[in-house]
Amino acid sequence: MRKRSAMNIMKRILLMMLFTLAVSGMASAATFNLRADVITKAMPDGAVITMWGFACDSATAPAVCPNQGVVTVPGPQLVVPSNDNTLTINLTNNLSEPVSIIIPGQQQNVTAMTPVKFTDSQGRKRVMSFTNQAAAKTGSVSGTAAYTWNNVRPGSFIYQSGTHPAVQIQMGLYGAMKKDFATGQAYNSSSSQYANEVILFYSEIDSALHSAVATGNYGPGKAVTSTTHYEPKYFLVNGEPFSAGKAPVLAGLPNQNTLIRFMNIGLSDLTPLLQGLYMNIISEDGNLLRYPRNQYSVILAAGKTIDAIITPTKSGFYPVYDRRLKLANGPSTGGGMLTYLNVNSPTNCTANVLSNFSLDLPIVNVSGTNLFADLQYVPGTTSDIMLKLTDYGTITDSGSFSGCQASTLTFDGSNFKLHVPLARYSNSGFTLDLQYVPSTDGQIWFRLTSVSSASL
Amino acid sequence: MKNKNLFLKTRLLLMILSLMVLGVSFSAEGAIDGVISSSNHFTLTAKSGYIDTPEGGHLFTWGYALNNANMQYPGPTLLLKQNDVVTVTLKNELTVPVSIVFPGQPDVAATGGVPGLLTMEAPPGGTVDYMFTASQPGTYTYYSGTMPELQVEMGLVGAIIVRPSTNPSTQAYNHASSAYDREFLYLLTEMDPEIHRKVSEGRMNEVDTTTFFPVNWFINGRSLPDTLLEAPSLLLPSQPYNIVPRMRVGERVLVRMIGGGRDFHPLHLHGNHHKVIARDARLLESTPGTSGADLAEMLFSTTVASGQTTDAIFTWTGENLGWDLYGHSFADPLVSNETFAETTLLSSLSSNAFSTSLTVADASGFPATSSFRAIVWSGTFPGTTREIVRLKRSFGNTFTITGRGLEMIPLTQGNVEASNWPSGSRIAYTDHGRPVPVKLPDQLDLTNGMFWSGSPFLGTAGPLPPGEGGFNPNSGFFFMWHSHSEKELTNNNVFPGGLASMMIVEHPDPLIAPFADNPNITVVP
Ligand SMILES: [Cu+2]
Repeated sequence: MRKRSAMNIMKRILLMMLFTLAVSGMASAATFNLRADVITKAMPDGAVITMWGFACDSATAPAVCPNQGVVTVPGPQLVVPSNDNTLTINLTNNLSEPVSIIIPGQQQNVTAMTPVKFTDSQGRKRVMSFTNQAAAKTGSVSGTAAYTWNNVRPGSFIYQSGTHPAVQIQMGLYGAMKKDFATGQAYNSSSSQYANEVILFYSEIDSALHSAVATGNYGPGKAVTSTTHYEPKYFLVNGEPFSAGKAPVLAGLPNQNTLIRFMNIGLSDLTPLLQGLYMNIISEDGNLLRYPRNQYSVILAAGKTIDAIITPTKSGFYPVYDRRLKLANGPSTGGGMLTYLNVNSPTNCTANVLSNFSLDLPIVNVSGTNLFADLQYVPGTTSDIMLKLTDYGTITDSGSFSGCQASTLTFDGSNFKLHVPLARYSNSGFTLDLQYVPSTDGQIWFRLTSVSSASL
Repeated sequence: MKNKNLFLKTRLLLMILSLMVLGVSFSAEGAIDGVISSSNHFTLTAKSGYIDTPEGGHLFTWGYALNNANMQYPGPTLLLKQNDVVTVTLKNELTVPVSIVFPGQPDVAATGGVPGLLTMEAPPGGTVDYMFTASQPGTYTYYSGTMPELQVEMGLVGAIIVRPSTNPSTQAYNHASSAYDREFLYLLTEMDPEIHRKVSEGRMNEVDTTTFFPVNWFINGRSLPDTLLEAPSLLLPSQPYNIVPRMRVGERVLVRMIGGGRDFHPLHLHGNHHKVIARDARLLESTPGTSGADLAEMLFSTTVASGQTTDAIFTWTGENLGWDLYGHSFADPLVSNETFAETTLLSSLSSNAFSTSLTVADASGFPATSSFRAIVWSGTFPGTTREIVRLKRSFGNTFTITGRGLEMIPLTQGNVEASNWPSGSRIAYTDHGRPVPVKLPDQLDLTNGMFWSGSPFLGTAGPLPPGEGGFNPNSGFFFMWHSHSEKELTNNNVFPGGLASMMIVEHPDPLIAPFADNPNITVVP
């Protein structure tokens, strides 16, 4: 695991970039073949929600399908390469009603963007879609449609259904679309350069609407006739509400620029708030701001995208949460729109104290040599907390743990002692002290001798 | 029910009485109330209590108390200085875990308690110490980081002000663009009484915060008209802060706005636009740390978003309203700030020549449509003869006299009456001597207001009904500062109320003793 050091990752990224550049010289029209389909999503409280999502079934290089063939909500993130001006989406519709795709902020091929109307029961022509649609699936025949954007501009955008959006967007027909100005640079300004990227895509679920649609009880003359009584119960980040034990999002190393793309496709305005950090807000709706705005919170209106850059100086877990306090999963607290940014090395030096307790420690010994030790908690029969050494060695690449506070290893003549500072989500660090315990089983054991907080 | 009405009536009566006292004395108003610690160590105790709302509501509330004092809503406003190394000890007397988070403060170290999602939490009966360095000046907030979707609603929220190292009593930040004469706090919150009722009845597990539907709205923990009541007030033992902004004409007023609740509130400051100079305790500046608030925005409503803070400078001179705000008669000498656009006549103005022209550029500073007053003079202003005329733009940069010698009284100086103004004379647009139109109550009216001006300032002088006119001794002019989401001007469905207070603009006459800012500041060791 030390082999997967930051340096190696950088090398790999570099190779990938070279490959991408080589390939992109040949093709210059990102094409994604998307499919609209039904999925169910389980919520932390056990509720199972019927949703509509997108899958990317195939893509034309240099475009790449994330989660190929898998229906997700939000849909697959569409990345248009920097040197590519044209985006094509071929849409296949497996749903029971027509759907379409629009991208607010990107100009669709004008001739294709024609509103679709229907005639209601009183003979009135009414718009049902902002653009041409893929027809509903009939029998085994899926509807299809194609959309092309000829002049894709850099920025963060949300693609979404342009048909019956009051229902279809809530049902889950949305996803992120982005294009960078250049590799590692979001816009035509050096202020938008970044080393790492995080996307925080917010959406909401009003379970009443989903069950009405799923059971055929939504529509004129049915039990639910409109979306007026919108009352979301679940508040998602990247398609999942927070729940205990959810993994933090990797957000680079200290003193690096990390770009956060905030997107909100829910129907409510939000205020994502970074605790312990300020961010430079650099763009709104895919438009670069003339001057960055230095804030710890940002108003993220429904439908909006905002890009911000953080440059944390210290490693740790930084919570980002909606300050409108959509932090419940239904009536249960401890959920909703909460994410931890893990500013740290990719090989994590912190302990997961919730389950399967293991420690992955960078250690500086007295002579300043960079060592590492990996310890695994092994449940025992005594009340002692015992950790077994599973791997150790010398770190040759110091880049791999520059985000971690090093543990200290001391030898007092008879005992090895490990002093381990740890960061928690709350950044309220605590320390573990471990003592080497001689053993005859051929393993190297440490016993937990003290914890600065009684919380373990 | 009967008791409640009686209680309500008593409260209203007491409130009116105290307003009368307030009107006469204007004491204990102005500036920002809060707490200072000489050792930078604050102890906040989370406890329960009740707050009162003007429509008779009595809401079970959780709040941060200072030491062992009453639960208060909002929590004590912590008044800090830049680079203070602060310790906040949280003691928990509630039956649920509780904590404090400090957005905008880097590297908050929490010791004691048990780990929570956002910070260390004090279990019931427990304690946590939070330590941070207030490295940057500005307006901040603090609130519970434990189950915040419930606990913020329940009242666990407060304000922090960090004074800059440069001019800490007259600037909000370390730059002159944040200079102010007076400052006021607008911590905006809301409550859904249903949630408070369930919690008070021990039915906390029935609370579903996704159905949150607030019907009471607060500034600094009070709703109109309680916002205007004195601070502190024996009537509102758990709501020690009020909000009665006052200023003298021309002063710079710093308005520190904090979104304390879950909803956004559009705070509308009547009377003038305000200049937003900072958000989240950072100046809006093009070059951080040096340029000052050069990216400030002029707004008449600021979206006060949840968790966010906004600082704005409001000022009011009455300029360009077309009225003389100083109550002068025409014969009074002009004061220096009474003339606005000023330029030179391109042609003469006299009894025979009714119109004159200005350069096109200069004319743009004069009113385009309505007739207005102008002062004409020659030589060095105001040391020579001068006259006030009424002009109206006839076309382009040409202006015609529409009033002279009628209501206009030629000014005389040195017994020389001016009447003929050659090309090259100076002209300025002024409101000098034009009283604010005020409809005085009929002598037989029963008035319900203590604030009928009856004053030369901001209004016409004239006889008032017996007993009236004595309650606004500084001749203040009132502007409502309130939420522009008009629904929020109610107290649980009773209008008027909610998120509103009155800004009082007072006369700048040096003969009227300037009121002193007299904040209630508790100093703890
Ligand atoms: Cu108004």
